[in-house]
Amino acid sequence: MFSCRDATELMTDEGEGALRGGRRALFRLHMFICGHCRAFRRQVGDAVTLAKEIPTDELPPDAEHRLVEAFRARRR
Amino acid sequence: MQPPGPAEHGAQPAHEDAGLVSRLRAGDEATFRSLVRELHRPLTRVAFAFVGSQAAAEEVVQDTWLAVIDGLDGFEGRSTLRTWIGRIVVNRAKTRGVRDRRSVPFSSLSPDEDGPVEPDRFGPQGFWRAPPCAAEVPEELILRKEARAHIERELESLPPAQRTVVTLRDLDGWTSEEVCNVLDVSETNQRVLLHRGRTRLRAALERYHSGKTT
Repeated sequence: MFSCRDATELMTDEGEGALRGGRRALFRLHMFICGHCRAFRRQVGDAVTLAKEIPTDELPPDAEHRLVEAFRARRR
Repeated sequence: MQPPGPAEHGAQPAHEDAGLVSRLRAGDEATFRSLVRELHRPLTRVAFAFVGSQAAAEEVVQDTWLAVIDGLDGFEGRSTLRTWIGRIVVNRAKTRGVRDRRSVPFSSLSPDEDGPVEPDRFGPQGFWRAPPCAAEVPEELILRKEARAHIERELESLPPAQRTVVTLRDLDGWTSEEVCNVLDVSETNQRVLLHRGRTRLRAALERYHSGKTT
């Protein structure tokens, strides 16, 4: 039997195109009938969307300056 | 016009990096600067997974850039530029990890044993007993920033391998192929790490939502 636990474990495989054949069909059927698992999937997506909004770490300006200086000196 | 040939026989990268690489070889500082900015976070995360300290990771990345500057002419374009740079980071970080006796092979930072959801949320047949809440992410700016801060804290507390894979894939937009090549993990292992990491972020979001409703 294909359970909710199975579905939660296979979400990323499905998203990455790694689910094939019967497993994929069962997964899709399950998602069609199970609102809780759809909510779970949407929440994973929401968490990823929020993660994408995390601002990138800045390189300290002096470190960047040193690297550009090195680039200038060595690529001349 | 050059005849087409296998990339490994020339020093001409055959894909979309070609323009970037030729600008770098020509000494274009603006290109170099933007590449350094773009790759700072992913490379530091990669290094951190092997050296275990932020300061050591940053040193490894700085040293890598010097090696990149010197090695640019030898880049053959058999991988993407960032995969090539990422491999240099990994090799240096491993060496550094051994020197500092912090060496942790990436594969041993492997998937934890827990599933993506606490086991008691499912009944004996594996169907939801305590289903996920259906709350939406707030649109309002301040609340959204608050939710994002929860996600960021959880990301920082993930095991290093998961944190690295989620950062590269979801925050910095690397492909699974690039991540596998840089970290030298299998497709399957990469997917497991990504899944574990993402589902832990989901759990953090759920805790945020339930904190709002109680």
